[in-house]
Amino acid sequence: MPRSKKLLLISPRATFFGRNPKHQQFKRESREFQFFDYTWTGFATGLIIVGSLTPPQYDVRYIDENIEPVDFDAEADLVAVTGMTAQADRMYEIAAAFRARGVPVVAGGLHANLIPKEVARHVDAVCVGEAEALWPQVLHDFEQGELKPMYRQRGRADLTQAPRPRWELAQQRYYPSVWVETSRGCPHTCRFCAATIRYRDKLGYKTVDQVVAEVELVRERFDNPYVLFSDDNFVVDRGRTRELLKRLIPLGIKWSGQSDVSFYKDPEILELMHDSGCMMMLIGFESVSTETLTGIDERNWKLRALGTYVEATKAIQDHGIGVYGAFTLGLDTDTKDSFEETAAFMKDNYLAGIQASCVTPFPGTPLRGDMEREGRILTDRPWSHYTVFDAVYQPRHMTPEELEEGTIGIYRSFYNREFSLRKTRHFKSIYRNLVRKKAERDEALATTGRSMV
Amino acid sequence: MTTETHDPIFDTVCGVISRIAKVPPETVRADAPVSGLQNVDSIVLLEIIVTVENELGIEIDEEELFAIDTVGEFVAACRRLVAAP
Ligand code: B12
Ligand code: SF4
Repeated sequence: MPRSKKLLLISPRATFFGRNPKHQQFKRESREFQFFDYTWTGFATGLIIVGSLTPPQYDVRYIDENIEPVDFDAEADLVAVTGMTAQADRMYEIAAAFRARGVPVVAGGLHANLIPKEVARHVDAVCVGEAEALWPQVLHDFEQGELKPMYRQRGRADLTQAPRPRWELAQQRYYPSVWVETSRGCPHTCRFCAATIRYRDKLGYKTVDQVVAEVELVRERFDNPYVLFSDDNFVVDRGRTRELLKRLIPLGIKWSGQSDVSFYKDPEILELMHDSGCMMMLIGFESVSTETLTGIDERNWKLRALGTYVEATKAIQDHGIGVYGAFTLGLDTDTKDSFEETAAFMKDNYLAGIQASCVTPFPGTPLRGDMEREGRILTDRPWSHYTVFDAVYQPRHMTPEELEEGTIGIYRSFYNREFSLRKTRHFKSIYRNLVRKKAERDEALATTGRSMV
Repeated sequence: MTTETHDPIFDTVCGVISRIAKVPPETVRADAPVSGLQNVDSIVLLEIIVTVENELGIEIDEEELFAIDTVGEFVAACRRLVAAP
């Protein structure tokens, strides 16, 4: 019997949070931050999908270098790597080590999509696009000994036909959260966004049946998983979202996702979210400044949404769903005062959690083009500094160090005992209300057999 | 055999954690750190606390909450408040 071919799927290590000493120290020392942040982990879904597209005659191993070291002597016929930009330098090192042994290396994932020509210099083949559309061809060519340097996808993959990710590859390791995808893409066009640039032409959706079947499987395979939906924007098609949420209720999971702010206007969605176990929605507010939001996306969608931020946060949190507000600082209209203004918004509105990042000119984004033209990229900072918490370009109204210091200052003012106490009080009153309402609803149901409206 | 099995307050706390965090009750142990409970982040923890307060008719002061590390300490705080006149 021929020996099965060995495929290693490797996710290179990178820094969680910022690399600079101030961020690292805060992460080590702040109990409030640690408690909040510990579920924000997970495996590389891209590789788990590559695994699901690989036929059974391959012996497939998944290695997450953030959890375990890579064994560079491991038996391997083919290596597939993935990575976001912060993982790129390490991805190149890993590729070099395997290629030195004559093992071919194929790269895909976000960074390879953003800057394929550079990645091509470090690996045998680069995949630009979705694994579903490319991997079968890559394997075919590998078996013929004819790997091509570049595979580019034409047209979008039909997600309704996508096999479910092969989660069992990652199952032996402890991940507090399990990522599930229901769609790809976002209708907005933020100038700094590296996540959706490749899906701009068209959003892709899985069917509700597919997603429900995947969540059921995740529930079977992982012990009481906390499901994180990795969709760039979880609530775009509200009809579909409603249907999905209704179907999630009986599954009894806890979940979180990310979206733009607009769903706050839909009370039915808010109720369904709470009833289906939604804990938190990460919302990209980006900024609380009119100047900074002007032109941040082509249609000025976020600028127009700014006036709703306060009302939206209240409506969402009053439904028991925590708002995890994501802000990006250091754009050209931001000054040193921006940090305090942003922190004030976060605290005045009792956001459940926050991300305050340094705006980052990722390769392939319009922002990068501008910064390169103006000679403002800090060329001594390698990709591993593209963590979104380290300054990698020269801001207009402050130094890079001041940008890092300003963002960590926001964290300090938010994740501390004093504010956590206030936040706890605030959320307790929300939950008291919700628990009381639920008890009333249950009582009404028990006595009349009819649910209250 | 632990003493908690016959303690109604422990049973209430454990029942609420299990129901809200969606974990089997037998996995909730007195020595488990509250911040390390499976499926429990700070938001879930608040829902748990408020539900326990409701079921036991007590109110736990936020300062006191911050001093609590384990499920056992949470149960002890509840017990003190239930016993208080
Ligand atoms: C889930 C997630 C995480 C998880 C899991 C990370 C992981 N290893 O995948 C966690 C929480 C751990 C994480 C951490 C970080 N993240 Co993150 N994360 C995401 C998120 C929300 C979804 C990514 C995802 O799973 N997409 C779905 C999968 C299926 O897409 P995909 O990976 O691109 O894969 C597809 C294709 O690319 C392709 N493919 C992928 N790999 C391969 C390989 C081969 C061989 C082939 C053929 C194809 C292929 O096939 C897939 C299907 O089509 C995105 C935001 C977003 N919505 O995209 C941010 C995002 C990717 N993260 C980001 C950042 C900055 C980070 C951190 C660096 C932040 C930090 N400093 O802490 C860390 C890095 C930590 C680390 N040590 O690696 C940025 C990256 C920007 C960039 N250009 O680099 C994003 C875009 C968020 C943002 N808007 O800023 N993250
Ligand atoms: S709303 Fe978020 S995901 Fe959509 S383009 Fe803007 S930053 Fe990217």
